[in-house]
Amino acid sequence: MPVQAIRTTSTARNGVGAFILQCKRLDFHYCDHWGSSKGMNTFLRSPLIARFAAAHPQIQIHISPRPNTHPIIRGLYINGREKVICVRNLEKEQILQKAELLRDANGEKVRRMKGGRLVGSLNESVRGVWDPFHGGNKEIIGDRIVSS
Amino acid sequence: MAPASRIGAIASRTSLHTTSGSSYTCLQCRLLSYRAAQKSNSSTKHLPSRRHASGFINTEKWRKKIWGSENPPGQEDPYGAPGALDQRRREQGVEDPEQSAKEVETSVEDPDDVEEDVTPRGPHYKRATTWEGLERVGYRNWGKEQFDENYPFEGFMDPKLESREKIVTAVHRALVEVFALKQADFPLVMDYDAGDVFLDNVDDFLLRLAKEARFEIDATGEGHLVLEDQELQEIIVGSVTPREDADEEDEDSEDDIQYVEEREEDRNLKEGENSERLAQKEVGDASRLETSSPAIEPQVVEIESPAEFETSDQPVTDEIPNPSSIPDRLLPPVDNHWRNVSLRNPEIKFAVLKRVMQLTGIRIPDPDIANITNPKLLLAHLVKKPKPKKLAENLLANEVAELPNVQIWERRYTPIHKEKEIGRWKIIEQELEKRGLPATGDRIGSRSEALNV
Amino acid sequence: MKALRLLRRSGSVLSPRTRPCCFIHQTQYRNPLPLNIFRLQSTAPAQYQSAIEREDDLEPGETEPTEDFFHNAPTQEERESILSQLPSPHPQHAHKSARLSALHARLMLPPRLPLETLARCLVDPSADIDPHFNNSSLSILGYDLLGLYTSEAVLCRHPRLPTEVMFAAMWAYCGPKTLAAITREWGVEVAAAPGGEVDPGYLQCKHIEAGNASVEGTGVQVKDLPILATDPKGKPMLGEPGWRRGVSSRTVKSDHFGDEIKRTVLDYAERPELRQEDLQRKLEKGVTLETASTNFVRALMGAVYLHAGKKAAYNFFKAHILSRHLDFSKLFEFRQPTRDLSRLCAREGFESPVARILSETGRKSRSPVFVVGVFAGKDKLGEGSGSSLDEARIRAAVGALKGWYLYSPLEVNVPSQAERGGNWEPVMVDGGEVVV
Repeated sequence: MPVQAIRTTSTARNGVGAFILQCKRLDFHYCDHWGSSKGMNTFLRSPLIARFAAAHPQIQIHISPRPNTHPIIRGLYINGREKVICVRNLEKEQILQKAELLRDANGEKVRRMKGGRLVGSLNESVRGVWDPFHGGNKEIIGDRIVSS
Repeated sequence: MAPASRIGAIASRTSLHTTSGSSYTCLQCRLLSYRAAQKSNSSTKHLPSRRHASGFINTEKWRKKIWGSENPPGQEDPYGAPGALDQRRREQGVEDPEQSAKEVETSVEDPDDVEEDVTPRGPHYKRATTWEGLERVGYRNWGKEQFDENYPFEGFMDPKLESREKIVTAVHRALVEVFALKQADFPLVMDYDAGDVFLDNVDDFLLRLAKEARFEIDATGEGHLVLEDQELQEIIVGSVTPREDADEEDEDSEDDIQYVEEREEDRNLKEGENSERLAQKEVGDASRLETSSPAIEPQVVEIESPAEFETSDQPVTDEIPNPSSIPDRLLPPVDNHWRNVSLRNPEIKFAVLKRVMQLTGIRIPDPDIANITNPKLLLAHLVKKPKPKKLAENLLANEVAELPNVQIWERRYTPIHKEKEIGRWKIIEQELEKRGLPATGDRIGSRSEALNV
Repeated sequence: MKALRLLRRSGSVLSPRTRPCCFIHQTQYRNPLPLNIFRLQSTAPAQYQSAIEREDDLEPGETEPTEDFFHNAPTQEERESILSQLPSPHPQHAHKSARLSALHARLMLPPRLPLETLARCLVDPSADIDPHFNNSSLSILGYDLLGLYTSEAVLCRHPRLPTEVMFAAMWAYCGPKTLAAITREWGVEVAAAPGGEVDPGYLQCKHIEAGNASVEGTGVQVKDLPILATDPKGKPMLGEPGWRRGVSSRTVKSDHFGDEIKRTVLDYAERPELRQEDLQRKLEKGVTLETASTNFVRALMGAVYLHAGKKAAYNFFKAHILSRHLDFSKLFEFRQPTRDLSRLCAREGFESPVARILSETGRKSRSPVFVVGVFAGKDKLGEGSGSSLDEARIRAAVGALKGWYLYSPLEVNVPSQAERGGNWEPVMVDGGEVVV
């Protein structure tokens, strides 16, 4: 029988070709009435939000009132999850920090890294994983162990 | 026991069985059964009606004992027979409303016996099963609403002006008028024209005021009105009516005047500026008596028509063709000194304040009157600060709104908005309509719907 | 290779059109629209007033739209309500959608690609049947472009790849499942139901009924409905659908992934009504999300090519498709690798392959390890280890074959990116897999 093929899909490598920012939308909710929203209101009136939105045209910015609640920033990500931060009683610079935090996140749950691994890869090792059958074989000659 | 057996007979006929099997039934049950029996069974009507129809208690016996005589006072059957009131009514031949209502009730209950004229029904009459669509009577505040419809409230002040430009114009006009009167040696508090009927064109008048009326403040700080055209002064003077015309007028108008005075006095009492008014009146009297110049009289006579005797406290009608926003040419000039004219003189102050209140409909609280020393402060009390803008309005005017990736909503972003964006809302509406449910709000027949009737 | 002058022939895609919606398509609208509703397709942002331009290819019989209806135009709200009754959002709404602009920026699309075209790419034919406003034409172009670029990339990198594996590689890079995954990775959401009021940034299609949805009025699921029996004819004959073709014919007659094309161009040429039939069926039944996503990505590819040119299109392909990781060695499935290897050696003139034990351990134990190498003469072709001699030998043969098929030159020059007048060295492409 000739060679058959197994159909699989290719895996995305974000950043190798094009880089897709994982944060696709940021909702800014404020309240006209509550005092905890003062900082958020100032933030929205200031040029900070305009600069942020202009610097990230790939993020959809949604600003709407959410009356009689604390102000929040909600980030929606490409993996479908969302992250919400309540920014009550924060100043506008702090709110910008939170917005940047959401922008930099990727929507995954915040987990402890297993084994302290910082880098993962799809590629196999370049020199191959060690096995006892190739190279460094020992021979027993007489009473000595000599590498062959 | 004769009564017991009779009771038993009646009870059994009307299927009233005692559970325990004893022959005791309570008073209420006995009463019910008797009444039911009377209604249903015609035969029981022929039963010898007891002397005491209210029950089977021999009250007579006890009454005799209590009163200690054979014929106790009072009615023979105080409990069963119709009461004293009913008896009196019957004697007088007046219908008993309760009875007639009962008759109506009973007649209506039996549809077969219904008479055509008893209740107003048309050929399309259909008995209602719910209250939808029926006229509601007697709900909360129903009485108040009925009264309000027939006797609508009419205030004596003009409706409040809201526009800043109109208020500024009114203050300026009041100032000019009062100072013109002062310069013409007139009493300061006068009856101004109601509805500005005297002035042919209010716009023109205001225009002239804006152009020609200037104030100058001299070294002492007193303000003086400088009119470029004396005609203006004459117009102003001509448009006022002195408060009293006790001397030279016709007799028919005397009653009117008295009536007018009475009304005014009443209002003055209400307003609480009694002393000032009376003082003004006296002053007015004095001044008028002194200066009975022929120039004034014909004008006074002219104005002596019933319409003009209406006080200027009446609401201004829609005759004034003022647009909602006053064009700039009618506004008094900003660089004029009129805003700094001193109002410390109580006569002038009160005349100005009164005229301003008449024109704008805005009352100034008494404690604040003492602190008003110039028109600038007066305007501060009259012109309200604009309501703070909602943030959404600010944002929409901002540069943020221009960015293509920014969406700003004025109102709360609800699930319905989301569904509309996604396109699912129309499907939801269709499905709800299929099931006869409203797309928004509570179910049909909710409390809020009922209260909105 | 002569460059396709597609830019000039893209009239139906790019130039402004002021045609009334077809009467045929009126049935698609929920309420009959007033006849003077005009939709526009243009590269420039559409304005109501500027849209009335005479088209050069307007037939003489067609009357020009008058300006009167703009002056008698309804109020803003009425206009919006009329526009919302269209089957897909009006092109002028493209600039109001933050979602669409964000998508444009996220994919770093060339600025010459207007938002209206991006919005059009998101409209599936099952949402809007009008070919001027859906992505059907763009997706055909994109399909061909993707097929071209992917096939040449695969072949130039691995010239000796067997055809089946090549088909699988094509499917892995630009097959429907991958394109659906790409759509999700781009953050494109799907609208619940198509309509004119939907945000243009959503992918709009009519969803096919889910297999586990219950048929209306009954408790039966759609997938459990008895299939209408087709007459069992037995094995299909040549020419009939379902007839298994060999690999060689599939290189000519199949689609890019080696799958059979249900209705070919010839079929449509013979019976043009089939096209309408297809469209109607899509409209009624709907499409799967995978199909809609595939159409979208292909349409976007075509749109980039048309608006921004060849280079931009290739860059788009490289950035989004070619950058994806695919392990070619995992695509192979051998049945008789030793036989294939011996035929290959015979074909290539090597000595016939011999398997030799390189090392072993634990032969009599429960878990022996044998390392076997396949040699053609003195050259080791491949090596494999296993827990039995046979397994080791087979693995060695597989390794040898993979080593042969997965040969990749150091420098890869793709024909489509050859410069005009530059030096073009022909790429090596092998004869194919060994015929057994």
